[in-house]
Amino acid sequence: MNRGRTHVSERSAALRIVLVCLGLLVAFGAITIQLGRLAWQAQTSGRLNLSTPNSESFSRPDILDRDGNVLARDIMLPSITANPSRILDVKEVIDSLTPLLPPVDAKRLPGNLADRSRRFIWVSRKVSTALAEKIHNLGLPGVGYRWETKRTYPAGRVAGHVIGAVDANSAGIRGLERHMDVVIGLRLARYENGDLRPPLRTTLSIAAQHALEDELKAAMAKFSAPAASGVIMDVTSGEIAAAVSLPSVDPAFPEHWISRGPIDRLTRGTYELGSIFKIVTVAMGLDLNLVTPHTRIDVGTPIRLGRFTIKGSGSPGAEMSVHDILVRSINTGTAAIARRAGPERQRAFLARVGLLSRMETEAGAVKRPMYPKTWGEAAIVTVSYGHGIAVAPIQFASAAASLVNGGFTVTPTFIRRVAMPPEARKRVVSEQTSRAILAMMRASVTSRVGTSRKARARGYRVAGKTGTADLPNRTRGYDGRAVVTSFVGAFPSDRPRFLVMVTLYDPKPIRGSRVAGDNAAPTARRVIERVAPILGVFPGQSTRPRGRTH
Amino acid sequence: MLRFVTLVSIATTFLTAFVLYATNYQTRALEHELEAAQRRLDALSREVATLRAERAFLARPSRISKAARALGMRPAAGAQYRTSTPRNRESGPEVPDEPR
Repeated sequence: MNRGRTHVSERSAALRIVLVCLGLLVAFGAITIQLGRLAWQAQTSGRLNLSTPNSESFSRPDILDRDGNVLARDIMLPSITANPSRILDVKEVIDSLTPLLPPVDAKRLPGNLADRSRRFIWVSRKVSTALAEKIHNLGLPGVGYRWETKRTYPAGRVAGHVIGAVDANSAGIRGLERHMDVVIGLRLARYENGDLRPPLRTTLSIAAQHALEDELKAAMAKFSAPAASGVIMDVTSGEIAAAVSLPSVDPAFPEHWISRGPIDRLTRGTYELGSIFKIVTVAMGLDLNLVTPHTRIDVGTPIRLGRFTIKGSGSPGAEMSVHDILVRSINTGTAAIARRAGPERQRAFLARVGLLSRMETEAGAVKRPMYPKTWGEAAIVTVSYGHGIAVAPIQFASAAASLVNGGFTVTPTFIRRVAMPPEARKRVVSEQTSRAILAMMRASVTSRVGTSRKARARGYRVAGKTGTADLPNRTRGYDGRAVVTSFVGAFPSDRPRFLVMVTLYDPKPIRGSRVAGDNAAPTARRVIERVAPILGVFPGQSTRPRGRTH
Repeated sequence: MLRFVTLVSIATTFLTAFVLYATNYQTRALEHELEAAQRRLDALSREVATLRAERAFLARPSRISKAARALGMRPAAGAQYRTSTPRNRESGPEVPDEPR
């Protein structure tokens, strides 16, 4: 009996030992597998992600100009925060912080700290590192700081309207900053600095931008104009090298201009631009085979439109070639060309060159053109020389670029693009029309009777056209007190690379004249002489202007 | 035999536990080092970003222009440029001024 019991006990012990051994085997096996797995999956970079996401602000890639100069960049600044529920002595905190904080934040502090149930408040955002250190050293329980991104614009006001602005959390609210959020997307800021995403490379040239701005400011001062705008655009790609609207805005302080500051007249204002529109009318006449540059047209007979009469040029019945009509800028001449086309074809042509539709750029939507709803006789005539239709200067500039670049459509852009192959480009007018228009615009600059002769830049072959139009007063009537003067031109005229458009708003008369030929044209000349070398177009030795320059 | 196996197993268990503890300790030490390095890196990155922004600020055209004018300099005039070829390479034959 005992032997039987011992036998059972031995069998039980052996079973337990086997179980223990199995347990140990499983345990060691698990440890071995785990060690092997860890060794296999070991991180090779050796970098731990120790940064805490900051849910309040976003990081943004740099914005650069075409030469790599910084237009916008993130830096990290401390923001003072507090946890009211952890503050022991509210009065002590208020007394200690009030002398250190900016007045606005100091004023808000007692109210913010009053609610002890809150766990987080901003005391003062994006302060200097020195101030944050000073507050940190006070050792106030419940008061601390955290790093936030701060968008800086080292170039100051340069291209302020184009660059746009961000809000307090670094989210884009205007211009290229907003475009970047839409295209690239928002990303939460982390404590380590720098957004590793590639920078936004714009087509702007900081040097050209400054030169254009400088010359427009000089023109505003000289002609006592309250505002001016200008754009320099690659006629083939539509890349904008400079875009200025004065008065300028500071992207670092959007609160000063977003709601009621100076608008971007280049894109957000529509204006009747006057006779620069004649290049469109003449191009239409040529492209529809209604006229040739040599076609002679009656420009002397006045045109009656209801109560209004458009004065003729010269005696009644006097004729002038289409070429001379553009060079001398004769209203009755372009009116006659538009009448030959008729309302449908005129309207269709304007639509084809992109002057009737809404335009978009990366910097935002361009204001929709304003034109007559019913395209009657008055519209045909007035639109032919740039009245009765109001467009944003940048929209007209892109239409003009398409007329002088060989006849291909141009979409203005602030972001570098891959060049479109010639076969993929949409034709607007024939190459022949484009060359003819260019020749007439060149003559407008070089001819002694040309309205654009003061745009004759030393060393550069400039082709251009001036335009002067009345500005409507507040009651939307015209009292002739204020005008908008413009010059649109291309250089070098034999194979244009860049288009320049300068607009002065309400320039005052000098020696009794306030027409574009006397203010916008010479301003454009100075702009071209200064900006062309920056853009890689140098004056040719054999292209000095003959005779005296104006 | 079984006793020997048991003793070796227990000894191995303790040895493994010790090795794991030591590895864990080293890992924590490395983590601390890495954290400190990361903090230094963050601080340096912040400084670099700020310095780059400052450099761009100091090189802004309005400041350079003002300083250059104070030194009596002016924007280069067209006549100051010379090309190595007799004609502007950008240009072809000139467009006639008047229609033929």
